[in-house]
Amino acid sequence: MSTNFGVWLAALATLSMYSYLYKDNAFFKIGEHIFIAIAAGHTVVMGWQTIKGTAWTPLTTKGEYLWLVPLIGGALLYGRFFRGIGWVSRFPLGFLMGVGAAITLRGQLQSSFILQIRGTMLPLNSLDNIVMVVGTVTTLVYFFFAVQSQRAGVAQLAMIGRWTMMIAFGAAYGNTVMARMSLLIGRMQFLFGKWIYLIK
Amino acid sequence: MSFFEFIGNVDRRYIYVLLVILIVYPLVKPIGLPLAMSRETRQVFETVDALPPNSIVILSPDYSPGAEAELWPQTVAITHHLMQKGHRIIALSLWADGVMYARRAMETLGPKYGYVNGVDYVIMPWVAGRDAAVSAMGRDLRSVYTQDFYGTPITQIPMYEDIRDIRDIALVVSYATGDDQDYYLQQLQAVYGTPVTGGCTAVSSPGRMPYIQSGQLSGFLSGLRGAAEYEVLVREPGLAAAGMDAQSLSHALVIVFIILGNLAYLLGSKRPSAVGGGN
Repeated sequence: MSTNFGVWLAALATLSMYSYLYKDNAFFKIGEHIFIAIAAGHTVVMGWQTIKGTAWTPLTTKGEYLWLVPLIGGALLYGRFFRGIGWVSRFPLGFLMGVGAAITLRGQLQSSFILQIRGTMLPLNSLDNIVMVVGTVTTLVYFFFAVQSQRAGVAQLAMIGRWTMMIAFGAAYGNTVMARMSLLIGRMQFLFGKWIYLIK
Repeated sequence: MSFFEFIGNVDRRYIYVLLVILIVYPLVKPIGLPLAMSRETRQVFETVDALPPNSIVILSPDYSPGAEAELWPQTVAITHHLMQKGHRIIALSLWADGVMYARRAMETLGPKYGYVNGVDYVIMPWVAGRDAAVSAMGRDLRSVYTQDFYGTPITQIPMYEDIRDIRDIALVVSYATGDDQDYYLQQLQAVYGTPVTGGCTAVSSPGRMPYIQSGQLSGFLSGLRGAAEYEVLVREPGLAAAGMDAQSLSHALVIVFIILGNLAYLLGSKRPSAVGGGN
């Protein structure tokens, strides 16, 4: 069994979290509160270090006064917490929205739109391609509300689209189960490998 | 009470205990169940394998400890491969927590392959912005990271003598739980044509498939299973391969209980018509 204090702390924290599976209890609540407190503390420290390292230190030690612009912009964002001057937060918010939209549009139009459409324009010469094209088209038909869904032909296509989505959701659920099991395996490897040395 | 009524009413805590037993037993005493290789994993392997010698690769573990169980084994497996092939690595992360994994990968595996900091790999500090940071990397890589994690200016790092802009990067390997791999695809692959590969949690792997289909993503590892497959390919069995028996048995248990649960629902007394519920 490990003699490392950190390992013991992590093991007890893990067990306190899993104790919730039996029922809600004081150990779980203590672990939960400690976790939230550490996460909040970590976020504040990381935020402060980012501001300090990126803007504050260059501003105060190297005289790079341009950093005043994002610092003031960041401070203005907090204006919304004060009655009467909430409007000042709109300037940095508008800037962020504009930059965000510009950055996103630049690559996303190509990556998530044009290349995705091109990726679906496939020759119908294999089962893979047929499934891909039929699945995509029928799913789009399902969400195409301009044509009455009860009309002959449309309803059947929409039904195929619905089944396609159901199969996709099933696959997503299967992957979710796999991911959760992986997390549990990771914890078990820690508990039985690093805490009590049962796993060689 | 019939068998199916019993199954329908079984205390979920018994299932938890059974699950833990089925996971821990193969971890302690490996069974050696067979592991099939997925097409996407092989694609990652072939992408890394086909890189020209001495290529420069960005290794980007974009995750926090919450995804460590799945993505750390992936990070280790691909880093082994990159180092076996002698490629140079820029280890960075779009997540503040992820830098820890970038460091750990370089500092734990580097010595095994004789890798020297600054010559064969460089670790970069966290830069805020995520998609904005990736976009800036594309425009001017040298302006985004002006010094490494330890504070050494990039002008004093020998490896950086061969790096002028993003076109000098042969491959981006991103491990992500969510959107971060998309940022590399949207800002680097789509705009500059930089190949992107990597891995993701099993939950997010269905969301990767459209990018595989369109040829934007050069394969990906899916969860712990993907990591295990890669460990087999690079002949470096590790945590993931050790966990595959447990993964398979736990899945078998889930399948059995899904079947039993549905049978209990259909044949037991809790059908909607029997209890007056349903639609």
